[in-house]
Amino acid sequence: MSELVLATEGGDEMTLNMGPQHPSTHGVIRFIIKTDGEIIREAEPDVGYLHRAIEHIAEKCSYEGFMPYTDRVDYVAAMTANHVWAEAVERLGALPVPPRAHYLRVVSDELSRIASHCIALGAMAMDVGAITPFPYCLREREYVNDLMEELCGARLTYNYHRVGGVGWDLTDIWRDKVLRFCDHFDGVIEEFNRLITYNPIFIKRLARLAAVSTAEAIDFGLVGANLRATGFAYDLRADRPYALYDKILPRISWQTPVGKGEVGEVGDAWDRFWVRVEEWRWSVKIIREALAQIQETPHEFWTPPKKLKPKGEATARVEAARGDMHCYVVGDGGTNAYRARFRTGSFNAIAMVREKSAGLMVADLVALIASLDIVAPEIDR
Amino acid sequence: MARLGIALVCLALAPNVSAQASDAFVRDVRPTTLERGDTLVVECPGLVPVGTASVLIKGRFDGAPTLDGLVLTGRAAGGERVLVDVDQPLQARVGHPLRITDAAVEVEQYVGGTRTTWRSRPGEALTLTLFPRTFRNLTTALGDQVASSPGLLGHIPLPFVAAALMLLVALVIHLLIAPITGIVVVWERKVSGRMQSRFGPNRVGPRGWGQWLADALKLITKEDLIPSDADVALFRISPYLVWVGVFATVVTLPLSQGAIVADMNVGLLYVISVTSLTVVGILIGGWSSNSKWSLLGGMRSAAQIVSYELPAALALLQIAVLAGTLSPQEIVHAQGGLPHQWFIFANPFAFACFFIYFIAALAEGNRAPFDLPEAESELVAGYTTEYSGFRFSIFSLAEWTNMYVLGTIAAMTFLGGWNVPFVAAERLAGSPLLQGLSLLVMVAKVVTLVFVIIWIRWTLPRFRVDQMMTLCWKYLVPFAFAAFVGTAAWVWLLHALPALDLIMRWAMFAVGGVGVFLFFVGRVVHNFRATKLLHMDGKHFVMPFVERYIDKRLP
Repeated sequence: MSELVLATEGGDEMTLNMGPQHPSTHGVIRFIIKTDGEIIREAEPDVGYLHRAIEHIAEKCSYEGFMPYTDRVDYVAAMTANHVWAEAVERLGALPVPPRAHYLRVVSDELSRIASHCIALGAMAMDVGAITPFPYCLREREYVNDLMEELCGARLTYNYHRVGGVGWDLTDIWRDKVLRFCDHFDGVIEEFNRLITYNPIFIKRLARLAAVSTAEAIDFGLVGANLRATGFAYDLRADRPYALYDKILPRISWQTPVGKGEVGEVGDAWDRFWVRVEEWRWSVKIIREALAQIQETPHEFWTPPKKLKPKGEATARVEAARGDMHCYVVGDGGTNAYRARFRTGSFNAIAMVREKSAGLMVADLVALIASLDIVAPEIDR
Repeated sequence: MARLGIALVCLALAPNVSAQASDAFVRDVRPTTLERGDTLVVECPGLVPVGTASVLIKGRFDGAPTLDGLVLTGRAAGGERVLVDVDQPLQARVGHPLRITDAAVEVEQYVGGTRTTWRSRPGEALTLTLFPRTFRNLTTALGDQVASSPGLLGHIPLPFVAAALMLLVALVIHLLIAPITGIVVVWERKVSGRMQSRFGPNRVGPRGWGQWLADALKLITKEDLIPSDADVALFRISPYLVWVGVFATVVTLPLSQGAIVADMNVGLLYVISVTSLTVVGILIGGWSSNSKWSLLGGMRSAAQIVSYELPAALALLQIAVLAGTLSPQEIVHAQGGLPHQWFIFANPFAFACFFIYFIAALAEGNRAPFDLPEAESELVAGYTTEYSGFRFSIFSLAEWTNMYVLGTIAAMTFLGGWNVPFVAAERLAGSPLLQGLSLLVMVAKVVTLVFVIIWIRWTLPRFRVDQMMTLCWKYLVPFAFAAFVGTAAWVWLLHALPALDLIMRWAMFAVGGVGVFLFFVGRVVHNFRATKLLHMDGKHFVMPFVERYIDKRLP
């Protein structure tokens, strides 16, 4: 007992070890927190518990053989990691991709984004103490998983994209089901907003919490929704279009959702939440438009590369659920990559925790981690 | 529930006597001595008493000597009734109307300087109902019974009989409350399941209602872990303190007109003070666990419960002002069966106080949105982090029993308690059917409130520590104080204008009751219309969630 009270370094401070097994660290992350009662003086993230040397594995597998591993880069939204690897290798080998494959990539990416935001928003609501939004989100995620299962046979680690296209074409039945899901999901967003987004207690908890300015966000390399929440409209889909987003976005009069500080400051935790809710809406619109345009494309969905031994280097960037995902790949003329490198959003986002946690309360730290949408495997790879 | 136990004991002790018990209106099983502090209700048609009144009773009670002008002090009991404190022994049977032959009752009172007198006419039927201090009276009654029995039983000293009776009552309470708590737990899980589009427990027992037994059995068979470097003695004693704090309140909570263990004249005060024992247990548990999460949970709990006791007690104080008593049974008796007779609609301040009490009681019971002491997303499991097995089960038992206690207190003080609509409280005593009905009414009110508590828990996010404190000290406490002054002023005003009471009650019922209900229904309808969710069933959709895994024939 005496140790508990007396063995605190620096007089008033108590050192708390949060994680690696803690309900709210969203995977295996550890935070070393120095607190004064409930108020945090300092929170130091300790990452690396989930490091699986994925980039090194890329050097040991063939280009096509590495595709299933990319699912594990970010297992909450595996499709975008598939996409970025496929695109990087295609650029490296200057391979052609049929337009239908691009549309399928767009549809599967956006479905994956919806599923990922379901986890992000549901888990955030649960970390703030509201449990019911989480099962609601999981229910919707299950529908997406069902759709994915029918498309590519997997519910979590899809392995759907291929170098030069995608693995399977869609069926008309599947297309109808996705459209039906989109109609359903519009209502879900409204219900979700009523249930939690505009809940007064929820707003009270998150408004003005850990507001990040645009300059800070750029300094720390924040990407995706965390960057857009600061009021800075930067979305790869609109600003550096890949796949066929440049054909889709103008048709749905795209406007990048940015944080407006509706209930507090611009860039606070509530803005980060709200931007993700808005991304749900846009994802649904993109899916509808892509499924309309895909009808006019020829049926070819995959151009398998012959003799894939590229030389040189290439970079691909994809707007993943957790923001700008880079893949840099170097080929030396062999069947394997000489070097591969992934740059993911969570690794930069977790740096914000140390920056913003001083002065917050223990309960706020949990909300802050959740609002940055940190996924442990994406930090470490 | 105590009465049940007593009746069983009576049956065992004197089977020849209990046969006559059904004829209670005319003959008594055994006359019981009423003592100082017991209460009589005098019905005086045509007089609406306000405040205190003096009551003069002349006449002859059944089987008792003639009374020559028994002067008693009474006070208004709502409607045309006076509650009279007995200040000398009377022969009568507890809980049953007393027949008085050649009775004459005079009720006298001074209102605003004028004297009002009400006299019963000769030959008019008079009802005087005795309101029991059940526990004491029954203990005494049984003690008398035993002491006067022939043979060996008669030689048992009274204290031993009383002690045995208390033990029996404690047993009955636990046997009754533990299943109630278990059912509340299963019910909460089922309701939360429905709210979250999933099934709740549905495997153990009929439709899953036996789940609490399985849970309890599992917890009991688990190892009782004590962390290293924990303060063992404190660690062990903590669950019992929490347990006592919650279970001791049950003693004075009425389930129906007859089912109460001890109708103390300081009942409300007792409930408020005994509840605070839980905070000691939680604090000790958090401290002794040798875990920082437990410690944080214990600290939060101490701050929270101590703070929220204040608005809760202040809100209940209005009831003491309105009813003029702290005794649970008399508080219920001062209300009526119909909504406009409830204290919640007595005046706007009481209406506000109901919500203040409800919020404060949620916080006192560590229920969401005030579940900070055990916030699982922040503190792992708060003060229960290091507990396992039976000790943990006691913590959760206490937590869910507390929901029932909260519901009972709120129903008893604000929502009319066990009063049955259109039936006078005095008539409940004689008829087992009406007793059952009053039990049902009470249970319905408690169940509704418990449902609301569950509903709130599975809807709202959690407050932060500072916000929780702000809500208490900046809003609830000042509002409760203001409401207290308001209620006092209102009661004072009623002394001058008694007719205002009924007008205000109906107005409050129309605005507060019907208005709020209609607003709620309108909101629900609006939400249903605003959100058009498609039904994603198996016909339209690939593989619907859940149904794939669970046999549809099962509930």
